[in-house]
Parts: sequence; C-alpha cells; structure tokens
Amino acid sequence: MIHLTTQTMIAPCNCILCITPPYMLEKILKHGTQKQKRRALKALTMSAQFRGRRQALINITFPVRRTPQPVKHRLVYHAGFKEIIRGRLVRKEGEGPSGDPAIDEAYDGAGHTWDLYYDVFGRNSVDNKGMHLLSTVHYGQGYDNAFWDGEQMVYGDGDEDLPEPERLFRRFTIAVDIIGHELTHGITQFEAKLAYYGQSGALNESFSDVFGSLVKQRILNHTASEADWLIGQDIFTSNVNGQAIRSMKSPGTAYDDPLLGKDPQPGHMKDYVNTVSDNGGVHFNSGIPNRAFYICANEIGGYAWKKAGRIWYKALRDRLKADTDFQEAADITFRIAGEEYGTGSKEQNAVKKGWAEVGISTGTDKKS
Amino acid sequence: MDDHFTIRFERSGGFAGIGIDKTIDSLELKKKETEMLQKMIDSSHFFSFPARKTMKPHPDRFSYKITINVAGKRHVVEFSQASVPAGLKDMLRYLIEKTRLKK
Repeated sequence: MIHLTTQTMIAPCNCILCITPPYMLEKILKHGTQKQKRRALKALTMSAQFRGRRQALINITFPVRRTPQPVKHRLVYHAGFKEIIRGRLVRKEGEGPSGDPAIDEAYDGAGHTWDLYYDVFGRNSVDNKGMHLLSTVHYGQGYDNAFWDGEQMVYGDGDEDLPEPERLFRRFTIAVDIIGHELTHGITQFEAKLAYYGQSGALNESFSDVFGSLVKQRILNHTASEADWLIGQDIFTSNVNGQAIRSMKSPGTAYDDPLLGKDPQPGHMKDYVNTVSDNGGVHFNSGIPNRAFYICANEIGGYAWKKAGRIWYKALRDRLKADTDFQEAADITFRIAGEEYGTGSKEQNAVKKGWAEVGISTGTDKKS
Repeated sequence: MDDHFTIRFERSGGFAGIGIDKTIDSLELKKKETEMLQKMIDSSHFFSFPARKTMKPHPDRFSYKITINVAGKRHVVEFSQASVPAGLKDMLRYLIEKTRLKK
C-alpha cells in the first residue's frame, strides 16, 4: 500500500486530470494531418498511462494529517533565595513530586490553570501556541509577592524565613488562584494587552482574579453559589486578622489588621479610588469589576466557568483593547452575552445586573 | 555630612497591593546606623538621580519611592522593582529590611 500526502495529490506537476477526451483524439488520429496524428497519438499514450495511475491511486489510502494534541510543558526553577530569574531547573514536565512544597505547588497550579484554559476554552497555553509554563520559586528572602515578568511566573516565600510568631505571609505558591492570576496576566499580554494603569489596569487585575478564582472553583468542583470568591485565601498566617487578600463577593472585607491595614478595595463606582499610587490603584479598583463578575456568575448559576467565564474569556481574547475602561468592558461583555445566548437572555440580563450593581449601566447599542 | 536627615520609604503594587509607607529619622537611630546611612546616601549620589526612572509598569511588581530630606534639601526618586538603579541597590535592600512588616 502506497501512502501519499494530500500535497502530492494537488501539486500541479503531478496532476493526472486531462481535458481532451480520448474519442476526440481518435478522430484526429483517423482524419488529421501527419503532424496532428503524431500529436494525438502521443496524447493518447500519455492519457492511457495517466488512467493507469489513476486506477492505481484509487486503491491508495491517504492518511489525514492530524494536528498533535496540545500538551503541557511545565518547568520549575529554584532561585536559591536570591532575586534571580530563572534559577536552577528542579522539576520538568512529567517528573514526579520533588517534596518541596513550593516547587510542587507551582508545578501543579500551572497544570490546573492550563487545564482550565484548554478544557473549557480550547486555549493551548498562555500564547495559544503551546508556550512553556515557566515558574521560579524561592525568589529572594522574605519576598512577600508573586508576579508575571512577561515570560514566566515568579514566587516568593513570604515570611517563611522568620520565626513563626513573626510571620504574616506564607509562600505565594500556596494558593492556586494566585498561580492562575499570574498566568492570566500572560494571557492578557498576548490578547487584550490592557495597559497596566488606571481603569484598564484594574481590568487587567480583575481578569486575573476572575480566572484565578475559576481555576480554584473548578478544582473544588464548586458552583458559583458554593465558591467562596476569596483570592489568596491561604496566604495569611494566623497572625493576621484576615481571611484572604481580596474578596470578589465583598470587596473591602478580606482583611482588617493592625499591621497590614484594612482591605482598601471598593465594590462600587461611588467609592472609586483616585490615586497615583499602585499604578493608579489597579489593585484597589479591580474590586469593582470583580464584584460585577461575581454577581453575573451567581445570577446565571451553575459553574461560573461555563457561561460567565466564557463571556469574560471572549471579551479578553477578542474585544478588549489596551485602553478599555470599565464602561467599555461592561458594554463588551453585555454584547457578547447577547451574541452567545440571545438578546434579552438570562445570561445577558445577568451581565447587565452585575455591572449595574457596581454602578455601571450597560445595555446600550454602543459599538465595542 | 552630619546633618539631621529623614528618609521616607514608600512601596506600592505587588500582588496583594499592600503598601508600605515609613519614615526613618536619623535622630531616632543609633550613631553607628546613622553613620552607615549617611555614607550610603553620599556614596550613592542620591541627589543626582533623576526623579523618576521611566518605567513600564509590570503586573504585580513592586514600585518604590524614596524621599530624602537633609540640610534643607529634598529629593525624590521613584522606580520599579524591575528597574532598580544600580547605585541604589544597597539602600533599597536596607530600607526593605528596615521597614519589613512583621508581627
């Protein structure tokens, strides 16, 4: 059995389709000039050879070339408690647990995030082209932070270098929604490119919280009503008066601690924080679109990643731009809900309600 | 330089968005620490740094602002964690440790 690619089939030099029918060539052979008879004979001979090949090709199977199934490519590095990126490779895709919680949490969390994006939204990694998922853990000493550096995730150990009674923060790999949050910054970088300042920056932050929360909800198999909607729930030690870094359900209530202060997030436009600090308050004002998503997801019901998450993902992938503000984001998500589920649908009304409850009206015919 | 000085250290941003805003007053420090800081300010040429290093904001990175008042002079320098001026790395390290939040 001969295997040929479809490319061979359609290449012009191998074309085996003829125009002049044999009966016409035979007429020329009988009644044409010598020159015409020679040419007709040549054409008939070649035609017979082609027909022979065609007959042979009928018996040949052409395997369909399939695109390889997307797979995860995770790499975890150890920074040796120095502020370096990337560090020493400590775990590769497919390798078993290392025994170091930070390494294994970074590995697993990246995998869960990849799973959400691929299984639910059909997205192949951060760039939708199978980008490797790189994580550096044990970054710095006493580094109470995690970030996306444009190419990879970086995680600090919080206060794990201090005696326990002095600690405020645990390591930043401990909360899977933090991992999902950081990876989503990467997706935003490739898609909407929301500028990291002011309202577009707050949207950048909010979309990271949304999808970080959906990663966690999916692992726990929680519906919107079962989810706690807390971001970074396990990051604080018992020395902190607080349950999480942020609350999407009730912005401003996640913590109230004598050392850390009070959760500064607003949950409504009337409390919008005008500041130059924190790139125009991107971590403050993200509370407003966070709550809009929470309300929308609960209005729709069921698993939040299925419909509300789908609307938000399509907005991030297809419609949001670098300078999109809250009003535009509301209009875009309202429009997408109508396209996906129908004008006046339960889903579209849920989007409208979510934004309305944070002080933003939508439902107009503004172009997105 | 034996003048009284203050250093205000502000940190914003980061995943948690929890800021730090602390002022170190030389009058409240031990002599050894004051001398060390004076040397650090002088050797870094802090007052010749541009006020704001052009920085593209990076998601969840820290931003820093250092304000030093000494002998009637005041200067402010701002930068991102991603673009710490080489001459200020030692000072930044000291300030981060000095103002670290802990129980």
